[in-house]
Amino acid sequence: MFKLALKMILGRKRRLAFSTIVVIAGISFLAGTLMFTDTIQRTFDSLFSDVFKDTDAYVRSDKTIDLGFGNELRERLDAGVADEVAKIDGVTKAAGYIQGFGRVVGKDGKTLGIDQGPPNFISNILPDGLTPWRLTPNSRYPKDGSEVAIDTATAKLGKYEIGDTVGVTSAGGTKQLTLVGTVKFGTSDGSGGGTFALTDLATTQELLGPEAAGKVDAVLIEGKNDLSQQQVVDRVKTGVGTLEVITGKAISEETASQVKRGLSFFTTFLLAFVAIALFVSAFVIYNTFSILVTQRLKETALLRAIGAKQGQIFRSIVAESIVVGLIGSLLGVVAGVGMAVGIKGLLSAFGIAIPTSGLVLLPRTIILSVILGVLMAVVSAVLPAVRAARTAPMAALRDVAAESPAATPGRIISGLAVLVAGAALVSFGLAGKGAIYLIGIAPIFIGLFILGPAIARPIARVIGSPLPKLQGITGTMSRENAMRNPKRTARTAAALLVGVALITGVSVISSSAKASITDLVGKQFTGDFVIEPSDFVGLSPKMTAELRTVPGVTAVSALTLIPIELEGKGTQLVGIDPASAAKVFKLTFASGGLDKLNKDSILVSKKRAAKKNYLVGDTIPATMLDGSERKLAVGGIYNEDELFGAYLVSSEMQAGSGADLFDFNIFTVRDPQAKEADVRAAIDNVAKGYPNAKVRSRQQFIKAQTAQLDQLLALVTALLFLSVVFALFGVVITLFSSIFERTRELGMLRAIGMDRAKVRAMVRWESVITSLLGVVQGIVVGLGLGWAVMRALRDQGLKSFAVPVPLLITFLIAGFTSGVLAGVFPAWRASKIDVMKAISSD
Amino acid sequence: MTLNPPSTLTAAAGSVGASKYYGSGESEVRAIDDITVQFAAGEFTAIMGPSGSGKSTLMHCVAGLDRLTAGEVYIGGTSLSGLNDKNLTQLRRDKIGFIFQSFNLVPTLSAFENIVLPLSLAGRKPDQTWLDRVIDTVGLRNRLSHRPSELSGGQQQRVAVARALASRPEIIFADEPTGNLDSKTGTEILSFMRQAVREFNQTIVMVTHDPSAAAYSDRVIFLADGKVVDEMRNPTAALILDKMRAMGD
Repeated sequence: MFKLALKMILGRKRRLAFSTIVVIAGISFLAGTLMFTDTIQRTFDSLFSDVFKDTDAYVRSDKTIDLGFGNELRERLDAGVADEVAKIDGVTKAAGYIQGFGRVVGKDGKTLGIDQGPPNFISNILPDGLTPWRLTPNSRYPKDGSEVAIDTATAKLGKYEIGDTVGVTSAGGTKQLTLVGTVKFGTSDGSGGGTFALTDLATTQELLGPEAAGKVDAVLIEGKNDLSQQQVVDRVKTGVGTLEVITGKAISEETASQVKRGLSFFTTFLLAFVAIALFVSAFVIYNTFSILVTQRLKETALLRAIGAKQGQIFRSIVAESIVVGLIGSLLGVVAGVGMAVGIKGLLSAFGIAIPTSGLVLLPRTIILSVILGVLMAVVSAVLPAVRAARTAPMAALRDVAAESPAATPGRIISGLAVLVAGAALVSFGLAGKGAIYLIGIAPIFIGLFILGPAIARPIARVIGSPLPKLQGITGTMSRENAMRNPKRTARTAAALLVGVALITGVSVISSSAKASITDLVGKQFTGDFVIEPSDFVGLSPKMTAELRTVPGVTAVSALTLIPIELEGKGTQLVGIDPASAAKVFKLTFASGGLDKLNKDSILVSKKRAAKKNYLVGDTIPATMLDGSERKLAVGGIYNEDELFGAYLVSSEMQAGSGADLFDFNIFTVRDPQAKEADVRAAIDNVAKGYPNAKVRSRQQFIKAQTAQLDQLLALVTALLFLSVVFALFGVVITLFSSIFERTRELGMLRAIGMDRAKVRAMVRWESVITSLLGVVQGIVVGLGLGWAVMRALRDQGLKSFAVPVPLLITFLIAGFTSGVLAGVFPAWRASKIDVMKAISSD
Repeated sequence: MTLNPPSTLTAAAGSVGASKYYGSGESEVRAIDDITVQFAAGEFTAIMGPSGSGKSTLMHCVAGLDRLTAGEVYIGGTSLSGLNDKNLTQLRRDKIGFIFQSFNLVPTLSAFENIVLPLSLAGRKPDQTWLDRVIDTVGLRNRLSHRPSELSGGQQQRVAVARALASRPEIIFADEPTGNLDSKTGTEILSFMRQAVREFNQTIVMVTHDPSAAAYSDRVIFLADGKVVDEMRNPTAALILDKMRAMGD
């Protein structure tokens, strides 16, 4: 039977080529993603195997605050620890190391690198053997506080050469230093997209701000060669009290595993889109096999008539799908190389620059691709194969291969039942009975797929209704052709529906979130200008102080982030300035007030207070980064919990807690008598001294709060777009099949006077209707999805529901255009049919 | 035997030295070989011959569906050899009516839409009085909104006849129009065609292998091995049968 299958495949190369291309497309996305993430993995692995190569032991504080998501803050050590460790017998080198957020400034006075992109760092130089950095030729390390070395990638970006003056900015301020060296991270030009500056210890400490003075993050130790890492650790432990001492291997692994955790989140994110694309591909393949089986009905019936068993027919089709899956997935792996490059390009276009070199193709990638590719093809072929196996031998004698009717009561009832069940589950979930009920989205999709063929005709009729007017009889025929085989049209449109529904859903969520945020920020921020940092570095508190002296500015109030362990959980609380906060925010109290906020108290939101039964005067135990315990008295209960979250503390609390001091937003109020432009100019002038500070007007600030949402939406849309492209391929396949089936009709139409242009138009419009059928249904489902998610998020303060109408219109136009594009090749094919062959009786 | 060269005044269509070859060299097949024939206006001509005689090829070439290897074909005063696909298509749409053996109709269109299809494709308004006359002649008045699948085989063929007549073409080509019908329905269709020639002065050329169908014509042209071998005026089924038996020998 396998031989027969092979023969059948060879006999139908072109048609099966379609299913194979869909497998290639789906699998290339999978293989490309795996190759891409494996490549990142390898790059980081090789980087980290180098980083602590000669480090035998690593000393650090035992006090940490775990912020979740692999993000951990650790208290700093006194720099003097390094000198003490150096005295321990068996230690040959001991060096204090400090690293923090800081950014290199370009020649134009503006920060280098991507705003809100990968983190930028500054650190002190380490002795050879303990540093991961390698000097490039003609470079040296800084010798004193007037010099700096920067990573090679940043030097290229800023067009800096040895001897130039380079600005470095951090929370402690900005310094102009002389460039004496450019360095590579192992063999890589940079360390991951951000800028990196190296100075001597005192300069790094100074740049990082007052809390870093005399401090280091850790001490790196090289021991005598005859000692094992563990022996060095054991010896060092005796001399450093309660500090944590671990081997170089352990810190190396820990750093790598932190990166791995971040990477695996990223991989999961990408694989989610791969899964969607594979699902859509499977659907298209299923449709292709269904079409093949239907077209082959006569042949199958003939085989049955001459004695082929049901099982043989079934096996021959499944065998065909195995061959398609095998060839498709192997070619998919090859195409995955291009896809990997494409994904890298896409991500770097969105500011996610990842250092990679070469491409890693693991055996796992090939095995997984082949297994999934074959599985996808076989699963898609099973139902059509069963249908083919059930072919009655008599069907060979019947004239037309007609599919069973589409709108059977059974289909409508079962489809509605699944749909309603899914909707019920979702509404349970939305009613707050548990997010798990949101899984009902899956049955909603399945219900729609079942209902699809029953509703395809009426919807296509509506979509196509302007056609007869626009295109005359050609338009009428296009519309009728699109409705002719509702099962096939529905299956084709369903593949498109998935991608469009998800894109629409995400767009609705994004636009609603934007509306909510704009509303909240607009209502609660009452100031005139806001200064925001363009990166993780934060703003220097010096800037806040300087702004207070600007004429025309009546109030300045900053926000800071304070790492703290509260109620047993690590978190970062927003710190406000109790004296000035009320001038820039609308903050109202149910009890207590801002006047009761000091470095030993805390403000609680009304919701949280109700949940925890907190009253003004209660105390909440907290631990600071340095391990000091505090008892925070509840000073007030405020009403506005959406924007400020559950707790607010005073920014003074942070001083002396071991965490860096920086402000992340500075809000100002203008004297109403002063000219807005004058005040703005004065603030801009201050900002010149702080290269990463962005001055924004009230409107600009509100808009900037949602800019990142736009970027995320664009990235998600780009990744979902692949699924849409695969689905459009399904439209092409379906059109080819219908043309093939209608060869005689087309021949007759050409004979009685339909010219090629009209034939092309007819096919093109059929394509447009099919495509719009998917897009329109997708938009409707996506609106529902978005609405459901926004309902579920209402408690999080996202109360608005905004439909992005211009975007949805864009989707419709895109659906129309894609329909035209998908129709180009089939239309050309249809116009080229041989009239004589088509109309000859047999 | 010799035929008069085509005169554009009396002939609706014709050919001069029309030849169509397939393949080349050893395997060359001459489907029609140097045929000169004309179809007089207002006349019902039948083309007969055994299968492989080239009767369908001749019709397809004269009707502008297929191209000649050598020679010329005319519709009205127009030589087809100089026309590109677009002009040829327009000529078929405006000047020629077609009735095929099967698959005549577009299944997604109603009977009426099928009848006026060539006119709709041309963007022309049908002449309502003429259309009514045609529809009444073929007796489809109460079937106009039905789709082909809701019509019997005979009714479908009547729609095809009506479509061919609706645009008042210079000539109608019918390719075995009764081949798929039982004899009673077939007779009905042939009577309509006969009626169209008599009452509307319509020119019809019909390819058939059925002597009783050919008997409805004014003139029968016999083909064998790609050549015109004989012709007969005012034929009867019996005479045709005799002629064919003679040719078979």
